[in-house]
Amino acid sequence: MPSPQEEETHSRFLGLFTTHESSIHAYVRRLVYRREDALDVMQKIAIVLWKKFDQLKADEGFRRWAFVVARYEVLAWRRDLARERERLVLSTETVELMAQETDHESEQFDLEREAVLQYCLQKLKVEQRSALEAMYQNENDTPSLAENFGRSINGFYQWIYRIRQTLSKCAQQVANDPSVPKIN
Amino acid sequence: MKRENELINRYLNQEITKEEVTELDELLKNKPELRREFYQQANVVTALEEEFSSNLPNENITITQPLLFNYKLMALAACLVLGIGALSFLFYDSKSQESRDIATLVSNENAAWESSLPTTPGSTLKPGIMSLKSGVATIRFLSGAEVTLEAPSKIELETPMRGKLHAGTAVVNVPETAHGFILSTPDGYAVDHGTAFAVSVNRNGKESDFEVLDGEISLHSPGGESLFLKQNESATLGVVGIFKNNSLNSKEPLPTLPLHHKNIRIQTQGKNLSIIRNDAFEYLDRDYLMVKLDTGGKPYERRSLLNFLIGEVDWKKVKNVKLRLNLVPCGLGHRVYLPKISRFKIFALAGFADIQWGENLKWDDSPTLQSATPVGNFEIPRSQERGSIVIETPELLSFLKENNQSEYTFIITRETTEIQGSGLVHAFASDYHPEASGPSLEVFF
Repeated sequence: MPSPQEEETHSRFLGLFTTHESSIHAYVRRLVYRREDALDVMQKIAIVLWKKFDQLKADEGFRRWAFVVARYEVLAWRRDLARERERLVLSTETVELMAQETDHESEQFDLEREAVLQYCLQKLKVEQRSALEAMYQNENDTPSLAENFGRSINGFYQWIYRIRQTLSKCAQQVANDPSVPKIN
Repeated sequence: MKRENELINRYLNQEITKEEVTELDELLKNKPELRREFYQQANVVTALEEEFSSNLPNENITITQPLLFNYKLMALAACLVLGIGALSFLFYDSKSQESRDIATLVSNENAAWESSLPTTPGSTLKPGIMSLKSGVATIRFLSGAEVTLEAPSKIELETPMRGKLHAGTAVVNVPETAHGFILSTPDGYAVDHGTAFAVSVNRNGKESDFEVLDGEISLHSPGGESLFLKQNESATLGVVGIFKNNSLNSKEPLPTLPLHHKNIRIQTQGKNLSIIRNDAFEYLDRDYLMVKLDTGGKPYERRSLLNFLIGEVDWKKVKNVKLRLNLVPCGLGHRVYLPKISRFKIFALAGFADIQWGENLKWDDSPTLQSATPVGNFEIPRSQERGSIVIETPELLSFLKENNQSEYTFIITRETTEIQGSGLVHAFASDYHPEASGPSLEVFF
């Protein structure tokens, strides 16, 4: 049986981790090519954070600390891959550059992601939304998806890209717009 | 599309070739504006993955156990002991068949649910478990098969042609399109050949009774036994196999539940309220018990207090206690700004509480958490809007018994904060709520 103190630590950790999980995941996802790889890296991050949780001095520092761990784990993952030549990844140099750059803006990216989920997806046409849903819902078989939406494979990809661009523009607008209602 | 945008697109779609990666790498390294475009696109992709492919486990029913049973932590502990590796399915279920819609919730008749699936009528439902706590509800599978549930019951939606009744009673109507629909129970399964039939899972799942109302079904036991049942025929599936009941038309009266006269249910009788850290009482509402933890200086942190005057109770004889809350939407804040799971904690104080319940209570005048004892935790997925939350922990029971008082006060807090400001304010029905009932404490002897 864990002691009440250990339980308290578990509880604190879980609270902090779940709060920042989605930001950390998004950060990792920007740097790692495959979704599945990003999930693997996330597992490692979760374990490191938990193992070293007693080193965290104040809860307020969790996010900052988690990003440092995340960055380290992404780069470790990247280095491990260097041994596997077949993998399709950006160079370590580029990943490091991007890790550094994107780290500083994670809060802005969080806002934009929430804007996508909260506002922008709802503004799409039904067909655009269905296409995204089909694309991101299942292990997609793009040729048949493209056919279902009456497009060539290339045309389908371009269409998805344009929808994502629309979402991205909308997200930046909403995230930077002070008139969006805030409710406390 | 410009070549460089096409490369980003192909990369994010996981369709890129080795040569193209090298080309993209070079471009990204040298072009800050292209990196910006890349981040924006990747960020949108992450949001879309989050929206459309659920990482949450199938069943996410409100947890009423103390923290040490928390599945993630159990897994973490196990992984730390056993070595890393098994964590993936717990933290990050890879996307699977879970994401398909397989049924629709047709109607709720005074229904209260506990489920991570949507519980408003008209919602489409993915595979998962739904627990009906009160009332009657009808679910239509995509095949056309319709299952009407009577509370309390628990059903697992598996595929458009298959469901499992874990507990409770249901009537299944199967149109021609869904011939072959399978309804399983813990004791076996029934294949429907175009009929209506009633099924009831009894004795903690050890027995299932089937009765054909119209048409015919076949019953199958795990041991390989099977039996055809026609209209008005009934049979029981149990550990020892299938038994056909002989009383065809002279129906036996339905078994009645044993009455628990001695058990008591106590309500707060108006003695419940919310407090807010900045004492801005206009952000509170008498109908709701609000709970929130915000970021920064936490000015909008809210807690709820409830008090039960129990009267004379011989606590020595009490075997179990349940604290019941009804989750209701209060319309404040956005659920997407919350983590996927919010965690709550309940604290208890024994004896008389010097609080003017009918009035606004200032934060600094309310009991502190340090003066109270934690007695339980629960979790609510951000997707859940309504439902009955039951706290039934050994800590709660032993606190009430050991203090041996006739009055207890509870404080409900949220442990998890929000991803950004304007996150959802959780609310439970107070005694004044127009629809849902207020908190109650059930004491079992």
